[in-house]
Amino acid sequence: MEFSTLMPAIAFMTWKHLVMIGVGLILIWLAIKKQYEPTLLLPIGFGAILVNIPFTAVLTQGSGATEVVGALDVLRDAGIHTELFPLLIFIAIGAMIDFSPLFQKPSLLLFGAAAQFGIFITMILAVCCGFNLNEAASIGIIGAADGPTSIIVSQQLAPNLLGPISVAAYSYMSLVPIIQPPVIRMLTTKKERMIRMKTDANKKVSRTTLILFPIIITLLAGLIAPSSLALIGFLMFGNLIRECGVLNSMSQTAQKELANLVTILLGITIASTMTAKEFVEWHTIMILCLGIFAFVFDTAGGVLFAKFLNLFYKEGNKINPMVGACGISAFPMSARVIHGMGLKEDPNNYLLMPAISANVGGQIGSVIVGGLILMLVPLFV
Amino acid sequence: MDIAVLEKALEITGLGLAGVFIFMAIFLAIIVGVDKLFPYKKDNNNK
Repeated sequence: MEFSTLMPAIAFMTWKHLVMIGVGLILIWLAIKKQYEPTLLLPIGFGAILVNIPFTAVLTQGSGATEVVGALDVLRDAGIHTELFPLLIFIAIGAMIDFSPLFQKPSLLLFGAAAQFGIFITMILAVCCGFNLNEAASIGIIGAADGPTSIIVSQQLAPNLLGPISVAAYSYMSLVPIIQPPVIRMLTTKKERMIRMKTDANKKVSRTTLILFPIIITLLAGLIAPSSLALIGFLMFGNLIRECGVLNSMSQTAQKELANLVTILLGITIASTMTAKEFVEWHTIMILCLGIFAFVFDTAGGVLFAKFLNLFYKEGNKINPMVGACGISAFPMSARVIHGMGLKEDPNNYLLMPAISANVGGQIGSVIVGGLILMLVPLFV
Repeated sequence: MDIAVLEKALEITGLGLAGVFIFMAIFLAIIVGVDKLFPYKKDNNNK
């Protein structure tokens, strides 16, 4: 009997498969040793190993009468192609978000818009690199620092790039503490980084306000941009469960059990797109580089917008430009990073509350921009 | 690089950035408005 018949997985193993198994091992190492987004990187890393062993049973093998359906293909069809998994994650995220910091200094919401700058700049750069408009927009959305939005946008506009875009989006979210500080230091002076901000930390928000907020936002977003409604609607539905006050048990379930269950399924299903055949390509490396570019320019957009606003604010009311960088969706990691940087410059400067407000704005902004891209790009293709 | 595609990308960038700022400005107005309409009162219904 021939070796390839006896040991087909070993006989048909190529260097590309080995590279991808290596990538899987690195992701597992990052998740366990460095604790970078372990809830996602670990399932993705393990899934990458699972799908890169030739003739793996987790992916569909054969065709026609001899077809054996793989479990990960079933999950991908059910959860990613239908966008079900990312939308369920949005319910969980909505249940986790407390919008009350936004009411303490509402103007910081605008940083959630400014820090989306990198998405569009990256889209332009991706077009210059030869990607088509759908692919370029999907690559740009990595800069939203919002995994579920990246999955939904790339699934609709460029499903062929879903694997590298999802991996880049989730991996870079965990690299916020490494990516943001040098960009901020490059664009600000020490004096600017020491600016203290006035916030009304004791301001309380009425329950009626917190209940009305998700309902009004959903109605408004739906009327202006119906294509964004799946994204915003599920996020706000989760938030309404949290704030209504009569579904506490359901809110806890959404925040914990639902989030954990769907994250496990989402992570390992994303890995099903990380096959050597689709992943070990030049375009993957380009997407990973463009993703970093998007993060850098998102951070720069937020910081520069804060500096621009400071031109109009009087001394004492100025915004610490570092807070602008929190306009991305990586919550609460970005706010924590900025708070830490503020303390490093001045041990008595507490930037956590304004940073959290801007970061919550970033979560809304990333979803809005995802909806806008889904609405605008098809009009131009 | 296709110049026509680049022009479209620039147009989407302009519309997208303007759109997200408009959205956020509307949300800002809603936050301020709703907060003014339903201010916090110390009773059992509020956080």
